[in-house]
Amino acid sequence: MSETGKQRRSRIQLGYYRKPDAAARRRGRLIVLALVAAGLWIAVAPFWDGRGDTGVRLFQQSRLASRGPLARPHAMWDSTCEACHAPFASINDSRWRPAFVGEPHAADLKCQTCHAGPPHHKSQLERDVPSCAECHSDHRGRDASLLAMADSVCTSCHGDLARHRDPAAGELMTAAKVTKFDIEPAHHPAFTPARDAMGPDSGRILFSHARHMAKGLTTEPKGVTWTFANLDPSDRARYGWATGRDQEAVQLRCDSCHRLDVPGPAAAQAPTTGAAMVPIVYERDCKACHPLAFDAKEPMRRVRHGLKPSEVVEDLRQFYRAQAVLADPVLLGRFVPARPLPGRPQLAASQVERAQQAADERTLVALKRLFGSSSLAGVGADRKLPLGRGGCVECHELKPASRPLVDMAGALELEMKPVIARSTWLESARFNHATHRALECASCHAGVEESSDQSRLILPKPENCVSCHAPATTTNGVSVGGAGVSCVECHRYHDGDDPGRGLGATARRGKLELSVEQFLGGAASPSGGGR
Amino acid sequence: MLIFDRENWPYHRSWCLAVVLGTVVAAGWYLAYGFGSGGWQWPGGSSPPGFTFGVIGGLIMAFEMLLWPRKSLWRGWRLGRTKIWMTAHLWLGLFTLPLLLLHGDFRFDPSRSTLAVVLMWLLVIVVASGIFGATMQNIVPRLMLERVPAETIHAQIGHVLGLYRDEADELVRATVGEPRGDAPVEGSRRGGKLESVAVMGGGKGQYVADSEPLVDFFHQYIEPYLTAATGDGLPLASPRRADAIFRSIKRNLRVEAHPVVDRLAALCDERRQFDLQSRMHHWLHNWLAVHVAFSVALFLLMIVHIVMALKYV
Repeated sequence: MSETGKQRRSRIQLGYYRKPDAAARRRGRLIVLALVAAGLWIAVAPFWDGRGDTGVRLFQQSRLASRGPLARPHAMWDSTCEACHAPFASINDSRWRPAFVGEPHAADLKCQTCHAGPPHHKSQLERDVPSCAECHSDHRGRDASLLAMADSVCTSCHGDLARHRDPAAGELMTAAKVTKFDIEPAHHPAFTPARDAMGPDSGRILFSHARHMAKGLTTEPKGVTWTFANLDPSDRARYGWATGRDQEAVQLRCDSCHRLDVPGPAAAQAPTTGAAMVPIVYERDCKACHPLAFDAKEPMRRVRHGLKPSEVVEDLRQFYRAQAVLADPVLLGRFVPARPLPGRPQLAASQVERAQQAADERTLVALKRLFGSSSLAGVGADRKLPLGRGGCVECHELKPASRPLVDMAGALELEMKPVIARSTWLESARFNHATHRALECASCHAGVEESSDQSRLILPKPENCVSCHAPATTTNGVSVGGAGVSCVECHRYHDGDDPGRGLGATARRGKLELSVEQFLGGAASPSGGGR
Repeated sequence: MLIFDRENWPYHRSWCLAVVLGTVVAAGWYLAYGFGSGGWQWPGGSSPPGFTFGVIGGLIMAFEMLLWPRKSLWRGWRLGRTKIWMTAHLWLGLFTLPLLLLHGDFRFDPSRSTLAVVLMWLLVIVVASGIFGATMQNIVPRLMLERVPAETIHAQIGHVLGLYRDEADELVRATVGEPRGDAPVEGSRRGGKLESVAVMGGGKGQYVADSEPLVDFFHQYIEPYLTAATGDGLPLASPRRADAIFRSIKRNLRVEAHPVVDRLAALCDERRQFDLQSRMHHWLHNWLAVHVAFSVALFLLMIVHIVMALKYV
């Protein structure tokens, strides 16, 4: 016989609901446990850090709120948030935040305790200047680069630069719109060499890459071949000589002259990063084939390189007069008045005067040889250059160039056109030759081996870069691209007015000088805020 | 709250669509912002979409927590129907998962902020336990209706079983002629023959001769089964075995005592149903302890996270 609902109901205790059942009691205990556990965690974590590297990451304050480990240069402040953050002030003004969290650039003052980066550009607008952390994002791991950033931080202004520069700053000297790097001119401008080097320039060295890269340094079918025997023995090894090869033709390579480091002891005095080629220097790179000999009887005598024509005149005159004295020391004992003595006849052709005239004549002959008014025939015939010119004019242009040199006064009027010796031609960007050392030079400097026009700059184009610096794709089974394409691969921000150079450590020095203890304790606010 | 039944689904459909639509819009904004700078960049919690999702998610979580006082402290207040609160709690709570995953850019890696990672895992546990609970509440009540016709209030199972034990004891005593002091004996021995037997649902019985085996049977099987905290593992827990046991005892008793045995079997069957009810109750309600406890921890740590995020924004 089945029970009725009334019978069942009669078995239930009245007011049973007033007491919590087991499930409710269990729930209550769990809630208390959760509250206690969460509260304890938050309370204990700040004190746990003092235990060093416990390995219990859960309890490390440095990781409690941190989005991730700081980059290695900042690693000592992993647990000192206030070293960089100003409490309740945004460190990155581009972020969304509640209105009551304000004071733009407040945290920048913390950065500037150590980093006094120069302004980006004199034409920049104050409202466009980002906070430090907008570009230099940290908390991305020990090995993350603080220079790595999204292109958007650059293109937010450079995407339409006219709207983001002071109109009073004058003509826009760079591309008005840059959105990304590729070969499309609408996205990125062509590489522009330094302004003073644009177009043909007669002021540079008269130089033919084609001739220098040719075997034997001659491009004429019956030209004179330049052999190792033409070089001083001390120079031969640098150009690939080996025993028994004296009569072989010299074959120059790019790195015969263009070097990433200064060879020899000079490397210790002026170490380089290898980013840029060291400038060509006559004494190191040219002298072996282009000695400035000036006298057939004194083939080992050389004019010092780097002198002005007038200084060359004076040097040579001194040399030949000294030669005359050495040949006839009696000359030193003879008095030669500067003007005729009263009541005494003028000595028209004294021995001294004759010696001086002879010395000046020899000087003039040497000058004509150096400055191109006569052939170099007879001057170190075994060292004659393939073109047969020799002297200064082998490489330099003189002003005036057309007038024949007839006397020393003419030589004193000569002027050498200035030489532009740059190590960097594309100054708006950075390029590291050392990191690209696996490539042959001509892969970027295309056509250099055929170039005989010294006024033509053989510089890379964006097309040279995009083979590697482009999004990774596969074309006909060949992988293309994959290397970085972000703006900061090549460009820097804080030396906008002097790209590629920067202002140096002194100009970047922080606003405060700190003791080691102060430094480790965290940056102080230059505005006088607490540490 | 049944969701996927013919009556309730139209009501939930609009909420469901709103959550799906909101998720799609949020994901679209997130992806558009992430790809905005050319290549993919994870939008952080303080990026425009990340910050927006964080604020919305935080507000929803605050609302979710209000269900607790709504069901206890403010029970009598006019704050809208409980059904609406529960529906909003369920669907908005579900919506916080995609929103806050986007806010936290899907980072579960403990090398990042441990607080943020703990919050992410707590969120997943809370939402998962909520989904589990909602699923259980859509399945278990129907099963209980079908399989536990003797269902009683869960907290009263122990009390009811106590009554059942007393009734069984009284019934057995009356049948074997050992009435308790306060229990009147109905019927009488007449020449060793049982004149009448009347076994009532209330547990009263009449003397039946040669019923002594019933006493041992009661102490060996019935009493332990009705007084144990759980009947699982005892001989009578298995219906098939119980049937065999009851048939066996019947063979040792007069046929007049069989209704008593049937009543004892019925009581044991109800006990079996109560065990099943307890198991179902466990699945139906115990998730709530996890859900609520982790929700409380999540809410507390979320407040800490907000303060820290604003302090070191």
